[in-house]
Amino acid sequence: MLHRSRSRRRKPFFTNIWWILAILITLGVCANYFFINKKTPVSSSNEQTNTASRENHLLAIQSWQTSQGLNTYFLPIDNLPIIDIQVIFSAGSAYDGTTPGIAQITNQLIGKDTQALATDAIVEKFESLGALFNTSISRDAATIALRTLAFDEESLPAIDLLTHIFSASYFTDNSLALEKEQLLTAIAAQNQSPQALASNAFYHAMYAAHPYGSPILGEAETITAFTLDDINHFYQRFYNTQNAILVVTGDLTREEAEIISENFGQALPLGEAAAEIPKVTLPAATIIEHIDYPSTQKHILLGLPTLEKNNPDFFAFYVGNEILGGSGLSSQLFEIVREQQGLAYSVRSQVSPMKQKGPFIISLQTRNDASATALALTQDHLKTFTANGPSQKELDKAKQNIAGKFLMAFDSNAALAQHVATIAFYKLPLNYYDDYLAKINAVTIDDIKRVFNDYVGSKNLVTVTLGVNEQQN
Amino acid sequence: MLTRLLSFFLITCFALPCFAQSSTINTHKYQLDNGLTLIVRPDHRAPIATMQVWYKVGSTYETNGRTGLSHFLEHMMFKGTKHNPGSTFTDTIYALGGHLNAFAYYDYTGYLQTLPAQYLEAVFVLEADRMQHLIVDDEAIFEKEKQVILEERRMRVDDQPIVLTYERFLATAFDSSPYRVLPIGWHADVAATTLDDVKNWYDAWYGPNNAIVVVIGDVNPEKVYGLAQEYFGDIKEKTLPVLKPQPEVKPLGQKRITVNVPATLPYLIMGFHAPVLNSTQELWEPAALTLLSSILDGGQSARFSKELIRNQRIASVASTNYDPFLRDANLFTLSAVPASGIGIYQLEAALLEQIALLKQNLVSEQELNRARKQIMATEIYKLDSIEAQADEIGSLESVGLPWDMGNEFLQELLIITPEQIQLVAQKYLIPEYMTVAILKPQSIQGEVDAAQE
Repeated sequence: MLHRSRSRRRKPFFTNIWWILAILITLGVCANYFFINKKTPVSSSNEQTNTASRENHLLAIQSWQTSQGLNTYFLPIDNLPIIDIQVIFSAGSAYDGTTPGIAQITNQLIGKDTQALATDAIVEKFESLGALFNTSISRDAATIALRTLAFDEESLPAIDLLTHIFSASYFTDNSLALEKEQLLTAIAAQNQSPQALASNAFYHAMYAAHPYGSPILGEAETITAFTLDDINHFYQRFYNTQNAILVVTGDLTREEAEIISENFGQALPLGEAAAEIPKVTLPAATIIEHIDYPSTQKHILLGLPTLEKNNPDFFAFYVGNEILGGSGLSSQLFEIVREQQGLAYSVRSQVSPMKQKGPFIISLQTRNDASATALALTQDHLKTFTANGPSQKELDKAKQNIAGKFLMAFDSNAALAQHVATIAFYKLPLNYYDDYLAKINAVTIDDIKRVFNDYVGSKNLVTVTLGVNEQQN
Repeated sequence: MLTRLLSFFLITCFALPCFAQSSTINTHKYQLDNGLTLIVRPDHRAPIATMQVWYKVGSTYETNGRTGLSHFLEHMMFKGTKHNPGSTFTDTIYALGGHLNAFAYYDYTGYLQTLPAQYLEAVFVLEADRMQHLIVDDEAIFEKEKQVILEERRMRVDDQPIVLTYERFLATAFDSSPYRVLPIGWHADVAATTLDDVKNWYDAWYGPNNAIVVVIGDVNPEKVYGLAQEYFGDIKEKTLPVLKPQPEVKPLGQKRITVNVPATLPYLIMGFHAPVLNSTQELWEPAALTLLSSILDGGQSARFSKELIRNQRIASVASTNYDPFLRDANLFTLSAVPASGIGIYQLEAALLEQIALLKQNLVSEQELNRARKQIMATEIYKLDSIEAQADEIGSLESVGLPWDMGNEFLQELLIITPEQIQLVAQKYLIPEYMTVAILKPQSIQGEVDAAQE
């Protein structure tokens, strides 16, 4: 998305319904800003991370388990009076089962009511403290996040209220009806967005019946039918200490963090961790799909499922992808499709590892009558890249760039909170970033050729186009 | 967690605004002999720095038939100079581990790069070079970039029902003001732009006395000043064109349009002509309008969320927009999507009722305090991003406001009274100043079928 507000926000790690709605409504206003390049959202795929000059570890993450078995991850950051708290559950849309949308709407309903408080009182309390309360989900995870000022006068009541939301959890028909309305509007908004439609169709084509194949927001039909029982059932199954992690970052002490985590551990019920998300089966044959849509541009997506979050081939794939299409104005696809041919404003590739195989996606948009040319150019280049890899010079430059980005990854509390959450949720080693650059630097041209051949070249590609099919020139 | 700040702060005012202000003590402003403005703020949290160059030129400097020129030039700024040909600029920043972007807006054009602080000098070299030596002479490159910009327009405007509605809304709300056109410009104007148009635009507006350089990060202000002297100091001052005022004519009555495009969601946007800091002597009016915006749409406890979305179930989405930091008078806008089963005119009536309530009754102290608290918290959260801080400084200076106007404005927000909020509602949110645009969705499938016939 091309979002620029007065205080430029990073796109949240997870898909957030409020964010989608906010984008929808402020889209007009956002259109006031015109960038040279499509802004790349910071997503979970962007592993290019981190540092701070700590003695032994780049990230001095502390971790413990509460008496109720809640795993807690803590990183003190003392240069701004801000505290970030994230409670993350294995309860993303991949756990929807036969009811697409149940994970999303359950997540949205958290913090709407408690046994003691109704929505008006809850939001009034948070906002009068200047606190930001936020719920969001991805395919893998469901997150409840709180950002508060670190002054006791604000932080203590804000954190107490967050704890109360879990200890006195409660859902009402009134809020369910309201959140259905919100969610159905967000889905309708996606249905008039060529990008969102193409992306949903692409995930469906790549993953077929696998849980990653259905849209995060769910489907209108099942959402309309949800009852309070459905919500309670999903909540009771997935929102418990054994299926959660707590991430606390910011301006507080270890002792304070321990008190917070112990309280959260008590607030959540005991339960069971969710079952693993099933393994992904790759497409058995090449898939090519077209969707007719009355847009002036054709949206083109190609790719396939590739890497799990902890796959060691990530480093070679990541470096290769940066060179191919991951690094904005400096990538090969940008040079070939946009600079040399003027065929697109946005052309990029990304790799997004998830619990199971996340996708590698090349995406571009071009006027309908130029789409065959643009697609052929992209396909040819992907083949060439897979066969030959980058040049040594390109590889060296990419490594330099990643090293620089690595320096910059510690630029904010928000970024740090996100890195700790990623490490914690995906069970990466706490010292994950210590040898990150060494692993990047070890990548060779042959490694890139090998992984692009193993994960892309030797597999069946999925291609989805959306737009108007017309005479090509 | 902190138990409040230093007692010094407690004596003078309460803690939050003071904390937000402490960063301003640390900000250094310089002016070179050739008129270039430099603002530096050290922030040593990470070994990085953001360096931004802001030019005081944007779409409101353009005229009819020549819209989108500033944005076109922004794209051409990445096409190389004599000393740094082709993509040397982007290649260099990339190799140093930095990232960059640029954008064109109504009142300014900005070039943003963030990189490891140790390489800051390289950006000074490159930015100073392209301020003077941009090459715009290759027709083939120019034509390709024009195609890219037209693709950008298709993606970001033509294929987005809400943006398309917003574009037509602006063109209706303003009669004579250049704020009537989106910065990307009309399709036909972009298509008709010539190489000479862009070159002349560059020659006219890109000079040191029309630029602001902002640096925030792990830097020493005096050293940064040295870099500015070394690389920008010798650039000759330019005689800038005299900017025509192009004011908006006095509104003579309500305006209303319908936009029929393939879409799934109805949408309404309503705007009222309103002053900004630059267009009025009354600082309190933009401050009161800012708080009014927050009373209606400052979070989920604000009136739109509470009343229109949760209680009355009239809207699924409702929001306001007001920017007091523009070069000239603009709009206060309200926009919304109706809840299912609610007609667009019922929605319009509900929005107007919210305005009527503001005119009839004073807002409560509780609402006002909530809005103030949120505004102050946002100031602190903003310190978490060096780029957001640089944005604020660059955009204020670019419209002729001092970089610390944000703080002065913050102080003003804290003393605005319920009566003042009522007054601006009564003065500006009136039918004579109103424009309404309604998006009426046409069948998407119908369009598809028609295209295939």
